[in-house]
Amino acid sequence: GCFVFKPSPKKRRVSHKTANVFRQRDGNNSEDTELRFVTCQSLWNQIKSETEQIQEDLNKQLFDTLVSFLRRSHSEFQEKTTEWTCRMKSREIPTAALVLGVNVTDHDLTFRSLSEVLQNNITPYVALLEAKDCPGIKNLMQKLMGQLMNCYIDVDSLEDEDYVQVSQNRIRCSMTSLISWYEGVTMKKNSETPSKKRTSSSRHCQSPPVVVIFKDMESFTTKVLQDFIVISSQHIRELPLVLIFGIATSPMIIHSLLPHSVSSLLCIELFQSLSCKDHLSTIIEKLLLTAQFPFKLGEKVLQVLINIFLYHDFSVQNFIKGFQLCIVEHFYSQPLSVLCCQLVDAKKRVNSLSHDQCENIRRLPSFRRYVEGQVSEKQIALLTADNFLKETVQKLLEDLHVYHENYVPVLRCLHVFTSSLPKYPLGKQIRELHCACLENQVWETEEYESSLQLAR
Amino acid sequence: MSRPEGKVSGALEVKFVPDEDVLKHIADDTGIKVRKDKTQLTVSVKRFVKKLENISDDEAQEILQEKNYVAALGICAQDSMGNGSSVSGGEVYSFQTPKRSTKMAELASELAQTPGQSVATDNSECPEKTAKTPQSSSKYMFILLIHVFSLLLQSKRKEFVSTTPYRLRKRLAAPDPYLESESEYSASCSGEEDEEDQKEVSTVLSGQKTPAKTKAASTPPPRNTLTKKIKDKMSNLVEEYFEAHSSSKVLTSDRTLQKLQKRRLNQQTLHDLLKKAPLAYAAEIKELNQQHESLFSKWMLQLHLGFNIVLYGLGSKRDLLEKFRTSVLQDSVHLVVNGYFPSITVRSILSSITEEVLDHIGTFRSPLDQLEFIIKRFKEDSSLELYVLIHNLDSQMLRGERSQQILAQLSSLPSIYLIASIDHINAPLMWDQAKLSLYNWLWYETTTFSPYVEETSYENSLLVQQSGSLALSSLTHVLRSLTLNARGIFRLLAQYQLENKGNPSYAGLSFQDFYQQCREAFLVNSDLTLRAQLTEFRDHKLIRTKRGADGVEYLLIPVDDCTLTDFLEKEDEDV
Repeated sequence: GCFVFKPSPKKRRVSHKTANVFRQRDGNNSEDTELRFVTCQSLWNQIKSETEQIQEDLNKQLFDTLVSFLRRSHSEFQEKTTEWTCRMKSREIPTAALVLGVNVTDHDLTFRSLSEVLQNNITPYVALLEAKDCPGIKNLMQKLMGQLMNCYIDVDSLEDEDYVQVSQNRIRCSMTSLISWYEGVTMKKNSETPSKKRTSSSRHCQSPPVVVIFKDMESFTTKVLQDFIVISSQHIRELPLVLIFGIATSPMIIHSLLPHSVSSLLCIELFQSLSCKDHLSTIIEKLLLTAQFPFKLGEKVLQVLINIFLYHDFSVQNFIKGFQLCIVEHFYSQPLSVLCCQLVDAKKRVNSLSHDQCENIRRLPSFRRYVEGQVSEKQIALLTADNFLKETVQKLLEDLHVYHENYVPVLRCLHVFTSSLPKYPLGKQIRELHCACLENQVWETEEYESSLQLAR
Repeated sequence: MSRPEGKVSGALEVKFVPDEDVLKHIADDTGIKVRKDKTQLTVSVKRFVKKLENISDDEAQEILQEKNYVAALGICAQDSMGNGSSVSGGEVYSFQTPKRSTKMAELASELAQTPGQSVATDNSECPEKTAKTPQSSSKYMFILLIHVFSLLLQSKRKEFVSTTPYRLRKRLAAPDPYLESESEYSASCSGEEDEEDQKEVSTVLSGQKTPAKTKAASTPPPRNTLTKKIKDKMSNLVEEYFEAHSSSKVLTSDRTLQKLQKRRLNQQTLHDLLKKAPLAYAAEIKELNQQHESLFSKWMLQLHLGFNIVLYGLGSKRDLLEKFRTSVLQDSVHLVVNGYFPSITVRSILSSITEEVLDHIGTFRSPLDQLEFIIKRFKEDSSLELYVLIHNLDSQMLRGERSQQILAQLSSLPSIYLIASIDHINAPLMWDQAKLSLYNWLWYETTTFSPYVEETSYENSLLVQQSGSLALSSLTHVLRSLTLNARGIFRLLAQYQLENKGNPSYAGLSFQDFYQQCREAFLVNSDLTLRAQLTEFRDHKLIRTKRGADGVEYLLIPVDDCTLTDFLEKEDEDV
């Protein structure tokens, strides 16, 4: 049922470039499509980096607390205290329960940045486990060891070939081999000349903990989790293990998944990630309620995206993807989207518009409305003379830009005024107010009237 | 409560009130309305209402009351006529639309009825008990009609309570010899009345008709000459409603393919016949397809931007994807997966990627390993690109959780572009949030209305004769090579099975019984010979043995009854 088709080597040329695909649509004004594509890509890249930056900032606090927890967790181990209390405690595995919320699709990104942060700050030994890879304890151990030993090689990238040569498949997957590996690694590090490896040792403490992250704790089979916890608690003295559970529902799930005898082996500390709604609010504020990006969403589209978020999946990633689709669609289908850029560029581009593009402008409903409001001589000039049209469009674009620059602060002011009113006639969130403003003239609505009444 | 006046004017107002309120309302209403015209009547009526309010459930007392009431009615009628007032029957008749509790219904109907009756009958005559009974039953019909309307309106609120008074129903159920004549009578009577009343009467008739149906047709269907005459939309609605809900048990058609007289076709003739059938709306479908095809370049762009595309909608999307492939993908490496293929597996998809696209020779322990290898290769070499077209991603073989997981992971690679089609209406349920985010679908509705010829070519059509002929020929062939005794043994078993073919709990013939029968027919002489024969049958898959709950061996011929009958007939011919 599967058939592979390969192009004949003669015909094989450089594979489709995205730009080519974009251009294929209308070959006649290719210079504009090229420009449109470049604009689109640069805009999207800007937005993408912006969203990533936002996420990083938002997660920063959570990660900081997590890092300090991890630092603390195995301090006893490093000090090698022999106190009785510590020994009692040492049977327990330090565990961080990370409550992330139901937006499972966003977790991936969070975990990726988390493991990055951990590798930079705490320990090179971070393993990310997913339930779908670990149907049994054996698979889990195999996966764990594979990741740990690989990451060791990645981080240090030393020329000790003997480690690389040992294929992960050939090692007997057991806790003992893991411990011996860990001992070998730490011994090696300690015995290294301090001057040479000072930088790395200062970042990672003498015997860094091994962090195992369970991405989706709920989907693991109980048996596997129990076995793993029991086994590793036996070896906690030799192997400083720290577990991180990613939890989508509530922290109670740990106790319902694990029997008391097992959960008592864990020393759980709870961490709460920020709610996805706050995340979305920040995203909307930074992406839409700013004059920084020339691309704006219309009322209906924004409403659909928000509804999908609120009533469907709570996934910020999906929201951003939807936003991306909007951008692509706009640039792909609207020839005039070439003007959707920063004001300075837009003015330049208006000057170099072709005749066809000028006709496109004349066909715009909003421009028609504008023309109808002018005196007749000007109407004729607008509809016939391209140069005059371009001048006018430049002026209009400037006005639009000014409007947007003023719009956001005014909107914020209005939101501050109305957000504390009883029953929230204009919405609790600024996005609701924004939607209302996009829908129609907000000062004509009943809600506006009532909120004015209340504000007095 | 719904009032006919309101109905006529178009402003229909429906209110649901407790019984006490209805009682009060009617008492007040009759009082006020009637008082306008004839005060004397009001007094007597009102008094009567009061009296009836106190009625206990005692049947005897009720009869007594009814007698009193009849007497009172007579007086009232006489009074009204005596007053010489020109009250038309319909005027009072129309505003009386009570419902709910039996007593109330009865009472109200009787009250409402009086003037109408007095108009129709001879003025000087007092209505007698015998004359009254049938008429009141016609009034019950009217009340029932009101219920019907209220039900209809209520049905919008999705709460369905039959509010028909129980006693009313009982009366309706009893065959009423007067009913027919009565309905006729009211029809003729209504002819003289104004239009408003005509409508009512017609609805009365239809109301009468429908309960008759619901009550298991105990009353003969009334003549609906009037309903034919006056086409009332509302009444049609009522009829339709009851037609749809008349019988509680849903009858499914027993016109099955089994009953078809014509012999079933073989695959080839069916195919030929279907080919001859002209394609409906060919031009429109072509236009539709052209619309879809105009999306190709957009799809390419979106695939390149990291989205994957899923096509849904009625009709085979195979041709569309094929066209996409030939027109756009000619110059790039692509993989076509026919999901409808009955033996397709994820493993074969992965293998064709590793072996043919990546030119890797070697085997993998598990699909997960293979997937990991593919992911690694694609990440290492950014120049590698692969388009994957999957027809019917939701097919039997691929819809499993694990297969979907692997495919989703595959499609999440930035340099693998997946475009797939789904057909099952619940196909999106295959994917949870995690998989959806991996797939990163863009949904395109591409309804093509084209037949699923390729996709269903691996399925057996119901119209085609199943493989029965094959089983029959194999049966005869095997049997011919056996001894006479062995054939006899098989015959015995087959006959026994046919005798029991109607029995759904027939498990098979137990070995002991079978042995006994065979012995009696001089077919075997010992337990062992029979077992030897059975082994022979079993090797040729002619019989199957099952152990019952009691540990006894049961023998069964795993062939359907028709084939078995055919076989026995043929055997008989041969002998």
